[in-house]
Amino acid sequence: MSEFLSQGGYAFFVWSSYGMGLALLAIEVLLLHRDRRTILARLGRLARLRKLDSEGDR
Amino acid sequence: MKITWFRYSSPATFYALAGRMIPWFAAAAAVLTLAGLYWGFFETPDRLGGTNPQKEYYRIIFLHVPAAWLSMWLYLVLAGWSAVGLIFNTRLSYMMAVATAPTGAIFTFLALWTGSFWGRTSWGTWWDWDPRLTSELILLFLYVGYMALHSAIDDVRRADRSAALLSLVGLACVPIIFWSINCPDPNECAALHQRSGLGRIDPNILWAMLVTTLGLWAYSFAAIFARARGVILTREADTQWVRDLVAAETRA
Amino acid sequence: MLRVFLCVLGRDITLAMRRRTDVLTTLFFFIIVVSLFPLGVGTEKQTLRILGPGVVWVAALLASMLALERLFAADYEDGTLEQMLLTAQPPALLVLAKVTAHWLLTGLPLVFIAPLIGLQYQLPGEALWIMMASLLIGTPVLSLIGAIGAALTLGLRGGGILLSLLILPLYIPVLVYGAGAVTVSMIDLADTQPYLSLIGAFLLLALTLSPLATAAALRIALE
Repeated sequence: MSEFLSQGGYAFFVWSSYGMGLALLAIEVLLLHRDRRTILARLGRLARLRKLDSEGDR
Repeated sequence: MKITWFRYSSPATFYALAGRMIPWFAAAAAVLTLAGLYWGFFETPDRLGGTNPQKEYYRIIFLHVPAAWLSMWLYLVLAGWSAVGLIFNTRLSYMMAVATAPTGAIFTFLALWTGSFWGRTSWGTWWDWDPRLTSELILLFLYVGYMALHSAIDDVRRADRSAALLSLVGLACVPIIFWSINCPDPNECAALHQRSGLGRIDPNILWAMLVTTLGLWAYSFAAIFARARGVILTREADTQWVRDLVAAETRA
Repeated sequence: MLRVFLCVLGRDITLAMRRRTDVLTTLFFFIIVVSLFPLGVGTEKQTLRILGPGVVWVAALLASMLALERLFAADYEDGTLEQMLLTAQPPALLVLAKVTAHWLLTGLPLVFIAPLIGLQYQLPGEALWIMMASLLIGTPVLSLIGAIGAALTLGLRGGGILLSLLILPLYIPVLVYGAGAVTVSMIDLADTQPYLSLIGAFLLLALTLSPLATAAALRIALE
């Protein structure tokens, strides 16, 4: 296990690479999730505003 | 048999289809990538000899090469959707192109980052104006240029079409740019990237690389489809099906 | 067709001549940039000879790009561009005329100033000739490719910087072979021939394809 982690002494290089990869892909996924929530929330607000607007006109 | 090519070119139909496919792609991505990396780390020799001796750090290859391949492939995909959009004038094509760009840029950056770390250990330098590295850098510029142009134009339609044209011009120039960097002296050409023939690599390494590539490819499908769904919702916000969907989501 | 070409060409040059300062500023920008490098890097002869070709070419790229914003902007703002595209003339022809005017005003002067810059960088005689030749063939390519970018970024805020971001990657082949030609000429003059041929090939390619792409971009921008 420790041999796996140290990668023959090149741990810094190997794990920095994979670490960045993991970080980027994780951030992308998180951003996509957050964007979806934001879009739905925004569209929901717009829908409610429209409904109130049309009710107010009556 | 009549093939309806345009059945899924309706954003509404595609939205539903993409939603169903994302979990499958995500699962495939996880399985394939982990399998490929496991294979790459545990089933391959620790050190390589031969004309280009490598030590344990060569394992970066299992992330570097797939990232580089995907960065180039996704640019082709981007240009492809741009071309389809410009020729057939389908809205969804442009949405797919816009959704592809960020993922492609991420892979390009990753290829540069991992390549830099591998270069430090293997060649002794963090950066070198090696043809392939430089071409990756320029590919990053092309992605960023596409995204910058698209976001700079307020009118969505003009943004889509201008950026699409830009990506095609970029595509036309990519071979020339690559070739000019690869061969800055037409009288003789040399590069640090050895002439790597896939046939001469240890089969375990090759397979691990291919499996990881497939895994990351599946990931890019999932990510791009998810982003495309977001783009569709934003752009088609005034349609009935989106209003119904939002109502259902907020009720839930 | 030739009359149309000459007509647009003449018009653009006349208009530019009325604002001579714009043209001259670009030229002086080129000279200043080129003069800055020795001050920053060192004035030793060997260093200068290595730097010279690359610096001159990068400065040529930047100067060409500065002037590109003005290629379509003035006509776009007062509606002339739209009128020009509405005529029955092929838009590619009009584009070609405007690009030629741009080159005559920014690229060609660089070709003539190049020997002076070359002397500043202690370049030998043959290198000066090759520099002029490479700039002569290469700067039209810069104008042609730049026109595509100018058309795409028509009327956008932040247009100039965005234009640079889009176009500079596409300029790289011309830069590599242009500067390369001059560098190689200092070692062996015969070796420059493939470089110049390649830039010539780029020129032919750009002459045929770029006006079409630019015209398409103009259509998209003006819809």
